[in-house]
Amino acid sequence: MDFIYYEDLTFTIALLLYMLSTIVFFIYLVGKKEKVGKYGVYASIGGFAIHTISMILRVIESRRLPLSNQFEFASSFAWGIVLCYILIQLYYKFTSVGGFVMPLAFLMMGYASTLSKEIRPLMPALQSNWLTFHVASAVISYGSFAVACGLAIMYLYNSRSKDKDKKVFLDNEVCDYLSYRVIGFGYLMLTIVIVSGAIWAKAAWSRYWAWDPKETWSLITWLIYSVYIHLRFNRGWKGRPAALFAVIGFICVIFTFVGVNIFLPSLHSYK
Amino acid sequence: MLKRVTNFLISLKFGIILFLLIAVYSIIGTIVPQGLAPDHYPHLYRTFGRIMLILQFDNIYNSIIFRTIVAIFIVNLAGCTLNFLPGQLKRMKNTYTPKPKENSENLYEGDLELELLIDELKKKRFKIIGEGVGFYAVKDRIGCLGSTVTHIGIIVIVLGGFIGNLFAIEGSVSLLPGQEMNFPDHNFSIVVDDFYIEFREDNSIEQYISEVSIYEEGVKVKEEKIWVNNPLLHNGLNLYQSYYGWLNKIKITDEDGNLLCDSLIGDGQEHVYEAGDLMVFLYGFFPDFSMDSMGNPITRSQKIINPRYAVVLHEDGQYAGSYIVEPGEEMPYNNLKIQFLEPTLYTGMTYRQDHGYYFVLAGCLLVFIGLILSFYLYPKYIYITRDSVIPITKQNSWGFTYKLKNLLSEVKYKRGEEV
Repeated sequence: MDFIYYEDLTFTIALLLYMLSTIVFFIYLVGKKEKVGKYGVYASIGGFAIHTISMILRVIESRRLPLSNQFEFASSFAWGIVLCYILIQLYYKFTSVGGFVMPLAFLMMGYASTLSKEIRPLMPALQSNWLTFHVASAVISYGSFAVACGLAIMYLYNSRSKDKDKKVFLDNEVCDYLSYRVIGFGYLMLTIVIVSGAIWAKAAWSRYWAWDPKETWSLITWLIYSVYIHLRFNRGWKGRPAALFAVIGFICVIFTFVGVNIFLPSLHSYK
Repeated sequence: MLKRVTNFLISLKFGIILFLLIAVYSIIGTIVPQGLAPDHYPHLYRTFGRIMLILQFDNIYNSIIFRTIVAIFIVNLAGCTLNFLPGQLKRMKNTYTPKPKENSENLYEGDLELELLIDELKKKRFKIIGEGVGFYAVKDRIGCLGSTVTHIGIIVIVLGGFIGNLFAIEGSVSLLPGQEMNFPDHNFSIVVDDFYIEFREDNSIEQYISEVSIYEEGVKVKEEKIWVNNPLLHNGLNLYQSYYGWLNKIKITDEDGNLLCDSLIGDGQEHVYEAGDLMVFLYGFFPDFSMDSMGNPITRSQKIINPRYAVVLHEDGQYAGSYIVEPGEEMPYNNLKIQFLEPTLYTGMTYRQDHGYYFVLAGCLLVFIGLILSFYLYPKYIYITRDSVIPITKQNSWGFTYKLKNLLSEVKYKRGEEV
């Protein structure tokens, strides 16, 4: 069986389904027809299922988890975003969230599609059980921050929109709280990412912290979200400033993931 | 005045400023190249380069300013934590129950069976406090301490880093197979029995492996293999597989075949043969020689498949020629013959002992526990009377209210079934 061919095929189908769900959600937000929103959810879940198959095929082909280079992480990042969105969708049934989260997943998947899909064996530094734990927690953490960013954008749109008929959008208070809770979870996972990375770095490079640009930017992201959480909890920061902070935090996440690899020489630049 | 200053120093506002300052300094450290020679900075950044040097941007994470910011941050964090602690301990007590706010949402609906609700709450580990007209269902008081535990964790992490900076023993050593390194402070020595690279079928590197024997007072106590991600720990000292390189023999003979020089040389090193004012510079050893599109020598892998040396000669300080030669191939120069041969891999190991690491690990664990307490085991109160069910929590009021609404629906449903 030609796993690479089918992996490529399923990846492309997943990309198209994410694009489709983005378009359908857009129509839903504009047209406000509940049935259309359901199709957006179906497209997201379908895309996620096929994306999962694509990743499984890559695991079979490479005999390791697909978490080792920029393409694999970008694809996993998109997968993490959709996973977090689907979990929220299944628990809370807030269809409109998809309209703000799925475009982010589609963009990340689109970015992955521009990268080399070549399967390379693991370099010595990556041959560690910590790889799975470290990167998988990063996927969940970054996915959560993306969802929180989507919710924050929805809040910002909602609070500015002159559209009085907002029945498809989440209530602003709900949007605000949910964004905060998702950030709380992402923050916890980011802590795990940093700690597991430090333990792994100690085993591989002798130092648990070396101010490598990637780890420094993870710390910066952690600090930004720390400020958000403190302001929110102790100063009652809610609404618009909190939403703007959630967006800034996600920009930091994106820079940590993409920007550091492109602009800053790093031990983590696994291209 | 002093009290005002102290209050500001331990305030959240100041803490946020310090958070952001640390973030800004960290960002600068990732943008400005670290650890270059001081004259590089004025060259790279002109006038601003000198200011950068004054502000120690060339070694920002070890700069006095950055360390001072971190130290003040720790003072702020400790003060802030101590400031909040009495209130948190008060909220831990069984007698503490918060009063509902005036605008609190009352989830009571007329047909609610309070006894059924209480049973359900007990099943969900809620403790019922008080009797009669108004009572409370309370859960996860321990969560009050979440922020304190997290903050203590961060203080312990920074303390660990500080201990590491002050007391860590660290260094690196390059050894050829057969060579020995003594660690007198740790009462042992190692001898490298072998060092090799494991290759895959495509000649990419699978792993770097140093086989070492460990001796204590001249007696071999064990043999170990060290590879990347598998350091050796002996008598408290860690040894890591960090780097490797090639050492080569350089031989210079005269026209009669007399050996004038026989020594070892690595990539990027030079050998000066003083008698002839000749400087032999080994640009590099290329185990699997090829050339890139610019005509520069490169190696396709680290496997010895097509070995070549790139060599540059200088005489009296003047360029005298460059060569690409095979191992053992003679380079005739005036009345001399120069040879490079016997490329041998050496292993590069880092050794490190850092007791601060254990503090860092303990701190990380505390941070993790603190965050779980803060985000998931936060205190939850429900104020219940004959005509009110009011959820009270500081951390996640919407989420808690949502869950309680679901629970009330369940209770109603159960009551309906019973009826």
